[in-house]
Amino acid sequence: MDATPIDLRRARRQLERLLLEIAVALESEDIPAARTDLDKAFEALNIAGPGEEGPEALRYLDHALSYAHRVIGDLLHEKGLPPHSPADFAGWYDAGEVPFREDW
Amino acid sequence: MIPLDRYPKEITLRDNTRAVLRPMLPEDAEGLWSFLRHLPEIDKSHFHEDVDRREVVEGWAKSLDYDAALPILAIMGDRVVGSATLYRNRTGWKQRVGIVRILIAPDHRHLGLGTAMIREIRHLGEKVALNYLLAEVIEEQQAAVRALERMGFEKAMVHRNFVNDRKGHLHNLVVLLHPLSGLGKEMFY
Repeated sequence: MDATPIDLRRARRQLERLLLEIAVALESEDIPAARTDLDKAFEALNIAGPGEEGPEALRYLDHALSYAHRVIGDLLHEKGLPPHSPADFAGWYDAGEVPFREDW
Repeated sequence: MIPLDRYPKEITLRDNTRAVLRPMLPEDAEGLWSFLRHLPEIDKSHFHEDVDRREVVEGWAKSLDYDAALPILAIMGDRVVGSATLYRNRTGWKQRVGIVRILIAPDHRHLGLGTAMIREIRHLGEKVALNYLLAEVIEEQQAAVRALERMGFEKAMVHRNFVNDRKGHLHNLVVLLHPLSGLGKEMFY
């Protein structure tokens, strides 16, 4: 199933909101690595700009989401909470199975 | 001086069990030796000494120098279940490159502990303003390679038939690098 331009615009807006909320959560934490990853997430989101469409835009949105997941993982780790897992989001995937499992 | 005020640090694993992360202390010799003895042979290949010998580990415990080698242990109850060590050079051309070695007990894998320990080492590397973290992993240790890549390490090279295990068999060595935020701030050229 291919993403339509409307899908991409919606995804971009949702991702931007997510990154902004993560930025707020990160303000009170001392996690330099997470700040760097959040910067990379915003960078990727900006490359997949509002007017961009097609596989390249989707790829950069995916990059942004990957960095966001890493930052979320850092925040959970810092608070001593269990790690989140791709399986937690399995219901949102179109693919038959979750992309990967925690190996280590 | 590496900041250690965040320890002891309690973490929660994927199965909701809890572990404590903290720097190794001299009194951890026995626990660390027991942990190392029960690791698969391939995980012990990189050691220069025979870590199955108690006196080797006792020697380390008596001469801890966190600025040169900071071992962070993962402890559950009275048992060491993981170890992540950050090695640094005080001077010289590689003083901004930290070498990372992470070991996880076989019965505590697939729980996110290795990833948690990578996060700790990343944090410590940032705090002491390193430019890079470097990890060397035998290619068969794919779980470790994938965990490092998911945490931002990138494969820099693979040396074919480069290292031998304790039985003399040759293995490919994967070298992974993680650039840290200090890298962009200081450019001399």
